[in-house]
Amino acid sequence: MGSLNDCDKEPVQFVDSIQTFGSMIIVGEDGRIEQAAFSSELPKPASFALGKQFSAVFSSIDKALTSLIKSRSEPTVPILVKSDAFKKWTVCSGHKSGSKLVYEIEAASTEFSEQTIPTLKFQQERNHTIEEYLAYVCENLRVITHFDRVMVYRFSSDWHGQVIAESLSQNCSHSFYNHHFPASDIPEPARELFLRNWIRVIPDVDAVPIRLEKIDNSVQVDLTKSSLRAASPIHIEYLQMMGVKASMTISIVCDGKLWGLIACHHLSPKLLSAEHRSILSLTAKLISARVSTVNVTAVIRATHKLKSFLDEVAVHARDLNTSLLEISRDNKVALQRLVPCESFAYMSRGVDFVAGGNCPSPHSLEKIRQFLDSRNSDSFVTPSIVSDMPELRELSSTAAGIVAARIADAWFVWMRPEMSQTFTWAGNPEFKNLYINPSRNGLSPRASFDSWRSETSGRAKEWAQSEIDTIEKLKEHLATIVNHGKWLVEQKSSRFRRQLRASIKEQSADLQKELGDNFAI
Amino acid sequence: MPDDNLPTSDKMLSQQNKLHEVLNVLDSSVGDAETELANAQLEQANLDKNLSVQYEQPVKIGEE
Repeated sequence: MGSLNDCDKEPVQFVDSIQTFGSMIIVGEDGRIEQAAFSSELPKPASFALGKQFSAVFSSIDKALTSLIKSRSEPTVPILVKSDAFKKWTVCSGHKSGSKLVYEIEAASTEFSEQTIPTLKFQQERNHTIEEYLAYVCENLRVITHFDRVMVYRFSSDWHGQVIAESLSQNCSHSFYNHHFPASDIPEPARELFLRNWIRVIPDVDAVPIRLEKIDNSVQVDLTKSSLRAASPIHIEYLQMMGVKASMTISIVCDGKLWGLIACHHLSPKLLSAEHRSILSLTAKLISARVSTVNVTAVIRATHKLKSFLDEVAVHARDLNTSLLEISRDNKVALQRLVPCESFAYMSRGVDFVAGGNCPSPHSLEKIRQFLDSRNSDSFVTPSIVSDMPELRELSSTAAGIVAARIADAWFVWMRPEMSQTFTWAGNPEFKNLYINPSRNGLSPRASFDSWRSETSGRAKEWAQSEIDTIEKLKEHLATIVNHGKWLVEQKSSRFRRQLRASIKEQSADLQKELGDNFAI
Repeated sequence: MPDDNLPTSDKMLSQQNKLHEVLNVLDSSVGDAETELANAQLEQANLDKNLSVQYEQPVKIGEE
């Protein structure tokens, strides 16, 4: 029986069975079939092929595919092959995993015609927000694929997910829109697989996986890139508990990180052809690039705002020997507006502080400053300062969330009040973890995905990465500007002193000359 | 299943070609989207660079 943390360690890429919508053949370096699992499309058991040369048993597939896949770890696009062994047209793809060649073979769909080819441009307007763009993606994907539910699940920094867009068919009565799912629903190994595969399908959650027959049972091949790889039994049970009979998951990857998932659910078994899946894989890339662009555009907007602010500060700093305190005092409104917040404060040791907006009292600000000073870091970000410092709970109405940067010896702090946030969870959040199910002699996911509400307090709206980046950039440049301004002012004053000295020297020489002349008289 | 019932090679070849056409068009859309992203990233990098260069190289008074 496993432990409750097993899902975080489950080697989901090393499995000994495949799903039923195709056949898998794994071939060693010498061309011999070492492992195989045959779907019902093949009249003979897989054990029949073990130990034989792949080229002898599947000659047409060998001719079409083997030379292509010998050096590629990414699966090929589907290739149509008329197979003698299958006695029909098959759609095959393959890739290399370690030293083995992995062939995946499905019956070819004869329905793939021009009419069924979706137009998947998924254009996005420059001014689309992420939510608007993904709502449009959901709607279009559902129309194209005919899944009953298409929803976009965005990961947060702690890997819990929120459904930020959804499109439902008439068959679906339960919406997950705006629902939160705990991080444990998609454990780390599963996230790793989603990061490495654009698309993953489970056409029939109730189908019993087909076991891979092996020459050597101790050999396990990494099936990360396989589309037929059997799903984790816990994940299958999870989908069953949700009432889902078929699923397709499309990854959204931004900047090399898993940003979110497009989860497609169907209430009856549903297989998308290999051709459609290869189209949707490319579509995932397209959507990911567009989501990344929307994200970068938000950062560009924030950087323009920061640049205007820094330019203005730089002008003042050039003319006057401006201190950070003076900059903060003269620009507190502009500083506060750099990121969406309720208040801004500048705090340095001693009595110097500047506060703008609905700020905590000076006494409370001093407590925040002491807390920030006590940490060995120049930056601090939290949506909930209470979780780091419970004694600051009294500040929740003004400063539940803070982002802070130390510039020179002073802290620049932006604050947000708590949001009495209502989280809607898919299932009771108290029972989000796997539990030990005696009837399965193993772990099971929660049995209900009914909507549950939980209220949060002491927590502000999360700081967006673009907002944190803005403050980091401010930290980087503001001190430089001030130092540069000081340097310019010092240069000016040193030139002035030089001129003054020269002038005094000249006047003194004149005076001496005059005095000398007078003495002479 | 006897061979006669199978779709002809021509039909399947045309199907394969159609898939390749779609994938090519889509691939080019992906290329465009990635170019757009790269341009946005470049714009962002230039903005960041401008934030730096403007203030890091002070000009000596008298030589400005």
